[in-house]
Amino acid sequence: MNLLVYKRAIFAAIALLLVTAVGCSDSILPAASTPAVKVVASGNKAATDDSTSSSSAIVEGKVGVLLVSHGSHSEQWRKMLTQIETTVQDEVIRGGLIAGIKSSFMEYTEPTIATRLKEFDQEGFAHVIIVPILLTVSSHSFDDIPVIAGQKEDHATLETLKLEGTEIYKPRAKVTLAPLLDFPDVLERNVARRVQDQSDDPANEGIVLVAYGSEPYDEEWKELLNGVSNKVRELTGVDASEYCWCGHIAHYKSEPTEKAIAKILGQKKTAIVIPVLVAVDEMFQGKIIGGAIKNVDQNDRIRYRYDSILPDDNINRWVIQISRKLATELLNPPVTTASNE
Amino acid sequence: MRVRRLNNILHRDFGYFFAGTTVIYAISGLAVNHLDDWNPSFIINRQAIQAEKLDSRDAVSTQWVMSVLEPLGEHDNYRSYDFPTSKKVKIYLCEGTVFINIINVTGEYETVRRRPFFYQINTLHLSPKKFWLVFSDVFCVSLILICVTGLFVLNGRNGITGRGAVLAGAGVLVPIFFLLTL
Repeated sequence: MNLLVYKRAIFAAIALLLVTAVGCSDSILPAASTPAVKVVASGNKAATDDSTSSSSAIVEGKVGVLLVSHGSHSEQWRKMLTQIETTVQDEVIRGGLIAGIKSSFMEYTEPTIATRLKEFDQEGFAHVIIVPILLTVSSHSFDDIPVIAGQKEDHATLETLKLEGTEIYKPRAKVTLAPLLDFPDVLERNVARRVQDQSDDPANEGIVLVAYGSEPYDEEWKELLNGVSNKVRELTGVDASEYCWCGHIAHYKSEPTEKAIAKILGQKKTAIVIPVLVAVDEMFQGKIIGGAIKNVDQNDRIRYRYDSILPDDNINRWVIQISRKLATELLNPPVTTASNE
Repeated sequence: MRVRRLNNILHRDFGYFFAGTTVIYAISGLAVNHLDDWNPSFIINRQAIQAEKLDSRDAVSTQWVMSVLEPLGEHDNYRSYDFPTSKKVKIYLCEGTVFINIINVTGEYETVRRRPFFYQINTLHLSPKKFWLVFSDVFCVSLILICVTGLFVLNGRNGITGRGAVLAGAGVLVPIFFLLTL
């Protein structure tokens, strides 16, 4: 009887090992022996995997726009981002300079950047302009997007993306990365408008700006928020402001927001809390910022709307302008005159 | 009696078969439960560094980059460099990066290496793909089966009508308590 049990256990263990080996064959190999990037289609070579085997020939001068946002589990968040595409679509493709526009997410859900880039390849696009709907420089804009689109190799980013199961795809189309939202003064005007909507006595009010933040680009984020704070104070007449982080750098905790609110309430009668976040996500606007407001004493002195930077016509206009500008530059590159020695 | 015998055989054999996978998921679960305290998948080392003075961003060259990498022993691991912002240069290495502020030439040298064993099990746990996705789905369903059959292994006062009912009920109350209080 005991022998039978042992035989079964050994059989089970062997079967388990076999299945496990198949399941993790990719991840148990040492990094050096596997290419860090799984490039499915590269350069102008024909695509080799199933997803691109039906791709059409590249149509010279065919330009596409890919709107890239961070991605979220929140459906509301994703809807706000895809709404940009719906709103600007007609204007972006009007005139025939740009042949198509699509939206994608870096994390969590389809359509991913890789999925969309494959589609552009299948449809014969020669150029893809990636427009990141991100506030300012971060690892997402500087590392993740270029690495996912096969434009750059960065060891740490590759390793993290692989762990997260993010697909990397280098398209046949040439990729151009647009500047970030902090390029024009879109953000300052957006925040000023949202403060004004809630302000009725600027002299007795203070502003709390809550943004995502970034550990490696902390200095740049501080600069951005300082700039926005100064401009918003100038535009609204509210002379006190604080900013704080709610993203990974703050471990997604409410405490930094609580502290910033408390500081403003120590100086002013009312605190106006503004999420400097691209779209509405129940976790950020709800759990983190909403949780902070709940925890602050005298929270009846706080004004807070569960809102975000989007929707904003200025951002839609910016997407149209930047897409058309970059498409024009791609199709009409500046003529360089050869030197006559 | 025949039903209980079948129940016990199923419990025993599924238990044997999925023992290894249960341990893998449990260890990975423990590891990723404490993300605030450590990085369960990577060993990240950071070191503050001071580079040679630069006159401007234009003065950044491969030669200057090499002068930064030489004392770190990363000379042979250099891949490329670029500028994330007008004030920063990022140097790419085979297994790391160096970030330098061009204005005050201070920076950070960071190496990222896979944490042996944990990287592999966390990959299986966090991003199941292909066959492993199917296998892990089967595993989850089997865990339910192991659990349910486990309730009926014994009869009598130590079975589900006696001691088993008390312990199983207490076990259900724990998550309910946390759901109501958190």
